[in-house]
Amino acid sequence: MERLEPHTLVKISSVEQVDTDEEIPEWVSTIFKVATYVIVRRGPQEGKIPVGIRGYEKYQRFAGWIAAKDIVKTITPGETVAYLNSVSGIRAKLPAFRVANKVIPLLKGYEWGIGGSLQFELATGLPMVKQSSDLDIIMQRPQTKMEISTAKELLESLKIIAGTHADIQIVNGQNGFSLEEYVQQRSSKMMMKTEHGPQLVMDPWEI
Amino acid sequence: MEKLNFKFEATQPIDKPVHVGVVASGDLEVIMRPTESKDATLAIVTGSDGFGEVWNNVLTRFFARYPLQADFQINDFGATPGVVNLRLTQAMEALNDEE
Repeated sequence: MERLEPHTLVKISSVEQVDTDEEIPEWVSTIFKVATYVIVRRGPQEGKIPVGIRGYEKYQRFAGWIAAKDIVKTITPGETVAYLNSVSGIRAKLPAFRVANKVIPLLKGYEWGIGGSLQFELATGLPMVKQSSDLDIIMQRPQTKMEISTAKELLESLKIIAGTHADIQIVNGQNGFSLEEYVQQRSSKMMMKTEHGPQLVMDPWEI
Repeated sequence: MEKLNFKFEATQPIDKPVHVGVVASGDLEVIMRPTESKDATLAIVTGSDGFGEVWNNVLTRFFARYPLQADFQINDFGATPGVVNLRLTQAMEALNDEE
């Protein structure tokens, strides 16, 4: 089975295909009436794929598993960027969408994508993005280690565009770390999110 | 947004401030400062409301193991209990980092 990277959006056919021990909340059934999408979570993909379901509100998060055979379609964060053109009218005026359009030239040369509520709205057309939503940037780890000075410059330019705090998550398969944490060098180790949970590592570019 | 406060008995004073973690989704920052108090005091600001009991469980376990006498400020952006525990452990380890 081909492995799906975390943050990949997956279309399935029905809520019954979500495997869980918990009772399915009302809001999940409601959102599934209009969009049957789940998001791949970090975790082993042996037999079943760990996924999350999101609702319109921030607290609306539900975890479950799906079977590979139930996948109808997948959309990666990278594929979502091309959909930015399709956002129009008042939706396009939301700060997060404006910022997303402005970062395209800044991130030229990098392999990157959009996660979070923007990714969901871009893929499904549902109004998930709020006035307060941030732009979640997910970047494939460049082949050569980014110098701290380069990373710092990149984040500073990003913050100017965003007009607020902004970060980039660097991913490599299931592993992911914060570029801001790499730049800050606050302690000798930093956090790497992995298939088997978060870990502290010395060098996130080596793993 | 919710503000939570906790206090735990502590026996190990710290001698310098420590700052670990980042303000990013699914993450949190921990700022730990030396204190005159005989307890560990925590002021938490979290973007995810309604998780007071989960915080209490994670923190109770941590301070039973590492009774750090310090003033903690935590800014949370929806970190999982695993990430919270890792960041607290990292803050504790950072006390021993060379300057």
